[in-house]
Amino acid sequence: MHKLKSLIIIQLKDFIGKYTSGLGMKNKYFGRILLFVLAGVLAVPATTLSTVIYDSLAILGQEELLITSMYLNSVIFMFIFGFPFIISVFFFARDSHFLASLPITEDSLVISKLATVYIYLLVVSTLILGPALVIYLINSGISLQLILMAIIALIMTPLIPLLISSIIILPFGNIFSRSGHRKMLVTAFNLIFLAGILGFQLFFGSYFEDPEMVQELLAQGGFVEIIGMNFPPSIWLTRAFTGSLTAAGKFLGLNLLLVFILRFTARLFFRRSLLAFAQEGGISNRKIYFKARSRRTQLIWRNILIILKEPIFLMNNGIVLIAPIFIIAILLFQGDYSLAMLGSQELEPYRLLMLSLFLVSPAIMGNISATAITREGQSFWETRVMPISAAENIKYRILTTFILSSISTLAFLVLALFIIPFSPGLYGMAIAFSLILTLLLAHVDIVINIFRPHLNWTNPTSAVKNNLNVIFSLLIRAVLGLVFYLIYLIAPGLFAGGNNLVLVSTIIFAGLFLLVRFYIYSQGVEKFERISI
Amino acid sequence: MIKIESISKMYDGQIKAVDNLNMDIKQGEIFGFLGPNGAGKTTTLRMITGILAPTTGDILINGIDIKKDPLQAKGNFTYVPDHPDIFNSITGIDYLNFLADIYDVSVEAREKRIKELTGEFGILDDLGKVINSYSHGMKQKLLISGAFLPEPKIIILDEPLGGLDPRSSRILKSKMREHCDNGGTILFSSHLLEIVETICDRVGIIKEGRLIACDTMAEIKSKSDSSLEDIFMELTESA
Repeated sequence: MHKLKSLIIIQLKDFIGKYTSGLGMKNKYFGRILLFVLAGVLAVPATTLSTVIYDSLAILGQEELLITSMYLNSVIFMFIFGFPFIISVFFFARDSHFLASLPITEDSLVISKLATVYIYLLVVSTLILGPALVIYLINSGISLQLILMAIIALIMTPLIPLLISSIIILPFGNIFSRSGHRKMLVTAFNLIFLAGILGFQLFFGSYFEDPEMVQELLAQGGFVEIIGMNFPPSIWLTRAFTGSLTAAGKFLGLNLLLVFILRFTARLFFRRSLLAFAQEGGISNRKIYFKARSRRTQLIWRNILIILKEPIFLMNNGIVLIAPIFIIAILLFQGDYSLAMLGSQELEPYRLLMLSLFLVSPAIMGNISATAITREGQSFWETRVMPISAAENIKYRILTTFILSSISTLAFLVLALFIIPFSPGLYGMAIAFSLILTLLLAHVDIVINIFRPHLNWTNPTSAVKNNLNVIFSLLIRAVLGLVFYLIYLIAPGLFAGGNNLVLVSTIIFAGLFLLVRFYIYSQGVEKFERISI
Repeated sequence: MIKIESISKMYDGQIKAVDNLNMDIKQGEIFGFLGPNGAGKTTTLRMITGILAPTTGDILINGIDIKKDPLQAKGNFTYVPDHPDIFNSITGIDYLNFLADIYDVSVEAREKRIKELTGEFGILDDLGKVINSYSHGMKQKLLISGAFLPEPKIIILDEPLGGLDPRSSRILKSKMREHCDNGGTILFSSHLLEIVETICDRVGIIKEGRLIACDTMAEIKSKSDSSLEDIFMELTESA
């Protein structure tokens, strides 16, 4: 027990350390404050959503469904975040070999690893389900019983996604560890899983969109039963909040049962994952070649390979580049919007704006430059000691971002050609807008990364996800949008009609791009040269 | 060939990792850089290679100030770090072709040299494998092959012998000598005093960021009958 406790503590310290160092804050206290502020900001969407849902349900007199709804959301998010994290912890952790050599039982090793996943999911649960519980408690009257139930709910919520994700991954342990293409397999697996989750949401979203279906199901027993039929723990938890001890017992019982299952399957998990990973698989030996490429090609290709060869980077960048397609697909599938709307007279003035924003969405959602230096980590020294100027080094990183974002934009353009009929001139305007904005954002993001390089990471997740650079990058996009909105409020005539807006924006972005570019190649290079490894 | 003029490195404005260091490494010599752990060897080598900027002082590589003209200066040397932390997801041959392109090595020359170097170190057949699958020693051999590949004027190696088997160590030592006999310069740090003693023309000993001895092996040994190990122990304890 003592060893297990030490092991869990060291794993948690390592995990929290990676996370906080991933934020790249040098000042410890400021870092902590920032962490709390960040948590507060991250909880805002769930708080707003919970308030809206609560108000709607209060009209129907079924406020307790807030718990059901947010519990389900929380579980779905935990699957999305937890699944890649479990893979990362079991198949890509650098300490696996070392831990496997220690005189510790197999199940202790597995439990200590899962403890870090649990803490991670607990944070997700607190940020999503937490606000809903607080809102419910405040509105329903705070009592000791409800507070206890809320605490139990928060503590227990991560267990189901944790165990189910683990069980899904378990049979694939041998494939992950033995295949020479493990990284690609992990990426493919993650994408399939993500598609599955989105599909699930789409299916249920459209299910509840149909009023006849809702009427029919209501007649059968109400929303609680409908959701409960699909995911019983959500209904048990909801009923526990309304005072049902039986439901509370069922919820607690299921979670405790899962803990026991986890305890007994830990050994199997160890042999299928940690141990198999330590064996390493067959290594492919490709044909050697001697071929010259230009320095530009080599450096750009190197930057692209850093993304392609690391599943976490590939997943992260790949998803943000195609995310707009997913979002549009969801909106169309749910029926909130339809392609026919694009042809309507009301939207006519804004069609060019919509097309332009659609084409540039990969650059807006992606922030590849914001981690362009960070992604290299400890191998950053390679290009630093070579006879490559800082300006060249920065330029090819920006070009890499531009190429990747533009490939995505090109794919979107092909799609747009089929769904939005336009004249070649307007397509030209939209393309010019998206290319200029892509260039501007690629330049702005690299400035962030030059100022906050954060090269000393050990887990690739901390390089691209738990990195404040990404937040800063998104903030800049929000500020840009806000500035345009303010200009629109002050001088609406400037943006009269969507086409004018696109034209004026393109000119403004081009000006900003030149300014940022000038700054990078005059001041930024010096700062880049001073980056310490 | 490498002139270090009064360089110092401070971290957080307080900790002095390197303190007013002066060294002049001449063409054609193998210069051994010694010192206890944490003495400032790696920091110094990182400043020479341009990875770290000195807080004060200048570094001239073949007469070129690395601060003022880093490109020209870096074109004169290659570097092997103490930890083989390189981009691990590419194959060995990708890495060597990358270096060859950066240092403008023609296709014919690179083919000949890659086969020769990696053949000698026994990793030619592994060049098609991903670097991640290499052992520590294999990575080290790959980095060393990459450092010799462009035939630079200067090769800087930080603890190059760690992880190498005896046969590879011997090959490296003979390559270092051959490089210097052909007019090149080698600067390397090591803890293996018996190796430093046998192959170095001059030795610099650093302690707590300060150079406490810098002379030819013959001069250092003429001052005492002891081995380099004894002299090192004496200097680093008393200084």
